[in-house]
Amino acid sequence: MGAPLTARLVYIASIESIEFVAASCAKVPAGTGILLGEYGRINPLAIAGDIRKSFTGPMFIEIISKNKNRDLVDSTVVSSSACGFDGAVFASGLFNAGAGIAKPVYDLDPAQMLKLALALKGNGKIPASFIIAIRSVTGEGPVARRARFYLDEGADYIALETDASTPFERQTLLIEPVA
Amino acid sequence: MIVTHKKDPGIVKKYASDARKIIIVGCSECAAVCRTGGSEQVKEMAELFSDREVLATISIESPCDKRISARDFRRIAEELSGADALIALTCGTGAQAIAEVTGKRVVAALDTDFAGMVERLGRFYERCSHCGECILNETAMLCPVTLCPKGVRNGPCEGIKGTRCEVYEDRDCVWHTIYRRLEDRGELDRFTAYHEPVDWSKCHSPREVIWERP
Repeated sequence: MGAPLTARLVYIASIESIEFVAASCAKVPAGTGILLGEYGRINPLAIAGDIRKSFTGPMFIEIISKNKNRDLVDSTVVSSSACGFDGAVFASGLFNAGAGIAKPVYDLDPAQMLKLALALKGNGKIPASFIIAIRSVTGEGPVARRARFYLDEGADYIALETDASTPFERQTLLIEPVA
Repeated sequence: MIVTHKKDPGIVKKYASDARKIIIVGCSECAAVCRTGGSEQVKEMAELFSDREVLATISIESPCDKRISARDFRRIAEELSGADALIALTCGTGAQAIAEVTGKRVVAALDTDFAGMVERLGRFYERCSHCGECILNETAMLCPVTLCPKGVRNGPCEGIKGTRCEVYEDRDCVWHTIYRRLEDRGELDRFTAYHEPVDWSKCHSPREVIWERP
């Protein structure tokens, strides 16, 4: 398990310019991290080096399975660690994001992404300190069971929107969309 | 059952534009149930081609079965020999089987949608994606690969909204329904049974099943 770095992440879901991300990071309070999403035209991996020059807080990437097969998920996890991200938040990804007419891929679900990332840790492809979180939502029944499953299987955190409540307080990252 | 829908008549006529003598071929099984390739639709297609010479119309029991197609085409061998094109009111497999059996030019008049469960006429539902790795015995007889738009095999995903699906907000998330069914059966321990990613190497197209002789 990676060391806990922060409980809050400012979330930039869609990156369309490096300048916007840099300006947003400059406003992030001390002790809060950033979470860079994959919904924009610019991939977080492409700007990680630039952001790292000025932002010293915890830096996470949101890796969505939408539009990726397992080979690309594998590559993205290893690349994110190599590019300086402290951890990743896995999610299936918004189905309707984009034009919506491309063939949906969804080769892996978040549980399978978790297993893949843990295997990468196990064989030394990413460091043991690389933090693994899984997107979830507040809820009982199936939602709570699945969240428990993620943590039992080896996820460091469940990642929730900031207005959510959670029974897993010490293992929850709160995500706050950038203003 | 294979669910189909009709192509635009203008498109069908375009692909048969230089055929003067044609045969209309219907399917008296799946396409008949879908009302896309039954006797009524064969008649409609013949009317659409009233500006050509329609040599014959034929409804084949299972045009996708080459043995049955070959048998039925033998009955119209003379007309077949003179035909410029066959208009196939069948699924894609049926149209290709007809082309292989007859050696004639075939124009597909239908688009093929999915293998469907029939509730009643006009209500067809996709329930299986033919992934080759069925997990129905662990998921209370509900296929999440098909019933979840993301095909999530270990759900629900983070998109669930209360009990509803992120994509189809008027429907319950299939993983919510699976949970409820398992709960009712006292089998909730199955809910978090981990399902490995599908091994798609077994599903590369075109798939074949060939029995070995004993």
